[in-house]
Amino acid sequence: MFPPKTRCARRDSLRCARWIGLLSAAFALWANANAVNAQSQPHVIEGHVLHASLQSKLPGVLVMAWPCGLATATDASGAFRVACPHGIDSLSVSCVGFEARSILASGDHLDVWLEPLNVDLDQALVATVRTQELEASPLSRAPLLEALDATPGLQSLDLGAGMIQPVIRGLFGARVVVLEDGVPQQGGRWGTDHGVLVAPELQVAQSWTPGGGHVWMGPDAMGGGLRFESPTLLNTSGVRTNFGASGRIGNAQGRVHVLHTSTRDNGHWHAGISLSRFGSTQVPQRTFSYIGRTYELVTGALPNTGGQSAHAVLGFGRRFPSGGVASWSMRASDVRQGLFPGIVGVPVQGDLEPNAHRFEVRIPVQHASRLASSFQWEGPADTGGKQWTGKAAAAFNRRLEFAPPHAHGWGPEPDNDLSLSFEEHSVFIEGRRLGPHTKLGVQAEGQWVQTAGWEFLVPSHRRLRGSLLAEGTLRKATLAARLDGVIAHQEGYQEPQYNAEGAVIGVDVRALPFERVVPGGMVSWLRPFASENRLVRGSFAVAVHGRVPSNQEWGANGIHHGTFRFEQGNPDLRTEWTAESRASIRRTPNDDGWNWQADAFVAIHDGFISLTPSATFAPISHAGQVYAFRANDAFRTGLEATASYRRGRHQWSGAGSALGQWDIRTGLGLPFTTPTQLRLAWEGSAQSGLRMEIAGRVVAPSWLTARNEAHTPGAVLADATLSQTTKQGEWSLQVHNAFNTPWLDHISAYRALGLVAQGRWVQLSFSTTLEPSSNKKKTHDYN
Amino acid sequence: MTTIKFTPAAAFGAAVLMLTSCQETDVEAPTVCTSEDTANSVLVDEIEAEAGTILTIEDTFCDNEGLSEVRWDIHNAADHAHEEGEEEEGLILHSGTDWEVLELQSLDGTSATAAVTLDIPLTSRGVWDVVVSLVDAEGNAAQDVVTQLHIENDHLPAFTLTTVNGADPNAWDGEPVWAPGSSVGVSGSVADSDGVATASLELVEEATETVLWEMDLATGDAMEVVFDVEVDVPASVSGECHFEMKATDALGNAMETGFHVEVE
Repeated sequence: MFPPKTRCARRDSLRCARWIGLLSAAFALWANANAVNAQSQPHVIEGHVLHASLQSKLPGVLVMAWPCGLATATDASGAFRVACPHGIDSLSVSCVGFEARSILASGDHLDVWLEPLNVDLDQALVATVRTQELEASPLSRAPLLEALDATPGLQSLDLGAGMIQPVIRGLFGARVVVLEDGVPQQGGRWGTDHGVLVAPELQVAQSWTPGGGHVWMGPDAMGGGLRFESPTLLNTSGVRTNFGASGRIGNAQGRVHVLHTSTRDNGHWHAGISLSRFGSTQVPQRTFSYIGRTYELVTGALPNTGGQSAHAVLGFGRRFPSGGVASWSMRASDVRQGLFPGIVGVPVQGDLEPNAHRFEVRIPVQHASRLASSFQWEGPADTGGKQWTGKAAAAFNRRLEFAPPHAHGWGPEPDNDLSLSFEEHSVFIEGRRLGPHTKLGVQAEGQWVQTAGWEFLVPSHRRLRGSLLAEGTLRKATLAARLDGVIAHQEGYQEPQYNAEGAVIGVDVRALPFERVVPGGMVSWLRPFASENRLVRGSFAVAVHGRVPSNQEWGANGIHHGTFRFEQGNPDLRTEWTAESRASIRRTPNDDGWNWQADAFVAIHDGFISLTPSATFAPISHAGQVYAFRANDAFRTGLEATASYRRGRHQWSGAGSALGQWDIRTGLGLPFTTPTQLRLAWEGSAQSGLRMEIAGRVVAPSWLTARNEAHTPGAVLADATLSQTTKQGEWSLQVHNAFNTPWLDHISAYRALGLVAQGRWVQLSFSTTLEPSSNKKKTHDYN
Repeated sequence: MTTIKFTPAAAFGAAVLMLTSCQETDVEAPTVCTSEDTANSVLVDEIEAEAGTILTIEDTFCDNEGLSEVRWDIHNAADHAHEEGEEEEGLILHSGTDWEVLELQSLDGTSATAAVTLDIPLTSRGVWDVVVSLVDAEGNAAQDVVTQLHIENDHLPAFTLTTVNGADPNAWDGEPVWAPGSSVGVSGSVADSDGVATASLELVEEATETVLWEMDLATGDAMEVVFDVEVDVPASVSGECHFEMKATDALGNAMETGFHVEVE
């Protein structure tokens, strides 16, 4: 079952013509019979076409004015304007995947809501839910890590199965939001090693949005964000079970997932589980350096970097007679993963012995768990097209790190292994009033974080955010604004300061308590555009947005094993403000021939907070230079482009990105600036369902580096995929880094140790969708 | 159709103007600029010292704009290496490896001299790394400068190993590997000018600190005790172990040394 895309592609618009012919004939008969008085009819009508359930604007919808028969299509913001020289008596509105409508003209402005139809396709489940942001793009390839790395402007930091750190246009961590059903995942969103716990295989849609100033994504989406959508009444139909399994060698991994969704009439439920076990990262390298010391890797493994993960989802939904839809969903995640012992305390060579067996995990180890629940209500639209929606969500997130007590440094040895503990409770509430031209909303977000353990990094803190949101559709553009207020509280922390002999020589004050209210907000203007023949579309956006510093940026003062650095917060940091301009242009997708897309941005940051090398060293043995969070004015710009050519069963494609990030005061680069990249691929398919892709990825040397940041040489990597679709499902054989090329990933923290990225792996996977034949009986066939 | 002119060239031009208008940025790292004839400098190949004495290491540091801080990190050289300043010396039996010094000193100006004074404990013997880290006022960090501090000790009993498992330990390339269930011959001596009161050998499993094998040597307060023993490695053991050698001289000075063993 395939709920249709909400965008009418041009090809689809042509198909709409058949509908239009039938509808127009029927409509003409009806119109004549009603003898509408042309003298009172408007000559020009403007308006919008919207999704009846989601209130989102529908671009590319065919709107025909009667009796003259002149037609137009809605633009990217769903707006249209049609005219008849002698007046308009009615409009016919149609789009593939939606019920066509005929409306009597009653004024010079008309907003039309279309009800979605359902379409049946083999073994495909595509969400009909259009993302909130007009600049969003779907992330359809799986698994997610590879999808991120293959998308220009995106990258991933592989933190082990089940933990993902997306990088958007060089920004990550607290500057990139991950939204599950519109709810930001708050727990653990700091630093580079504390990725989000998410299982894309248990979701039905995922998308990404570049840049900041997106009103509904929240203030932390300064670099953009990823959205994941759970199965709901609105994006699934029928009963089906998705199953997938994979096994990998080279970086040993086994993974299996099952997701069952059932949507019948007015009820929905889903349940799913995903399990994986993974071995240590394998690198074609034998030595690395940490705090000036050089260590040997006995085998090609980064010892103790394997682990296991488990994710589960559960959800229910119901449509009420009033038309309102209620949904409840729950997610649970548990990831246990070894920590590379070469970075904990002052390692000795013996700590780097390979683990006894492939999947063994020993201390140091991290254990991340999360339980999240959200409730959503989508009220029925009234006759004016206005609708209430609401969300309420709560989550518990816990990160524990265990390390041998000898890693503590000076002073008495701890009597337990718990080096760091984060326990985070969070809530999120949102209410919206949606209308054809305006959306108004409020958001409230709360986070309570308790930290413990003998390796201090961040003090306990709490944080409350309240926001007022508004979005209005003007004649040609969308204007949005959000006003944020953040109340932040931090506890103080101090401990005795020891010397090398273990004697107390003073007090080490790591954090001072504070409480403050910090404002933030954004305003954006987005203008979609299209060529006359609709072959080329795009958008242009200007936004000013502010992000309130994270509590880590305010209060950190210790060794962060994820960055291998002593990080020092700065309680004087204020909201970082950004003025950003983005442009996107693309050819309307075409099945054969050329397709292309280009995106660019320019941003100026006032007080861009980045880890900056200070002029001091940490006063403890297992740390080096202090890296302080400082507000540095910065300038960033980038370009992403994709072009592909398809002919018959062959497709050639190229996708590249270039990013520049400068500290304006020094002219140096910002740390971890993604090097320029280009991915070239050939894909061929056979009628039998066999498909093959061979891709080469060229990573340029890091020509732009920050102070003290080492230069990274370029690399050429090769990947290959062979897949076979059968009636039972799809088999896929993937080879990653086929020539086992040692290369330094410039954005990886391991690169700071001189450690290259994962070498070659080979993965065999199988996925299928099982569904009962009764599904088809519920299908609306519109062709 | 609407035409919108996006002018990235203008934005880029503005950015270039902004960046080029900045003052020249100091990206030059500070250096150790001690003169070559200085004896106890981090620039010499190695520094020698006696346990129980006081040693001062002094160096001069330079920077084009302004210095900020020097960090002296003196730690035992066992179980790791440094990228520079290291030489292969075969098996070194370290003692008193817990002794370390970490000292931060502020520096001013474009040239400054700083020194660290070390009170070398009587319990130490072996090789220590002297690592000097430098940072200037802009945050430019220099590559660490490393040298080795050789500490001789006449106060403690000293073990010498002649063969281990039939091989000269000075010729080892990495950690020795012993087979579970095997019997490994270890021969050598322990000596002290005041006489050796007690001496013992142990094989210890590192993860659990379980003593797998042990033997007390007959010493009789002799100035040198020669031993040739067979170490029985339990068949059930696998993983990282430590061969420990302990002794006490007639005056009560105790010492402990040893080496890592991989049992597999």
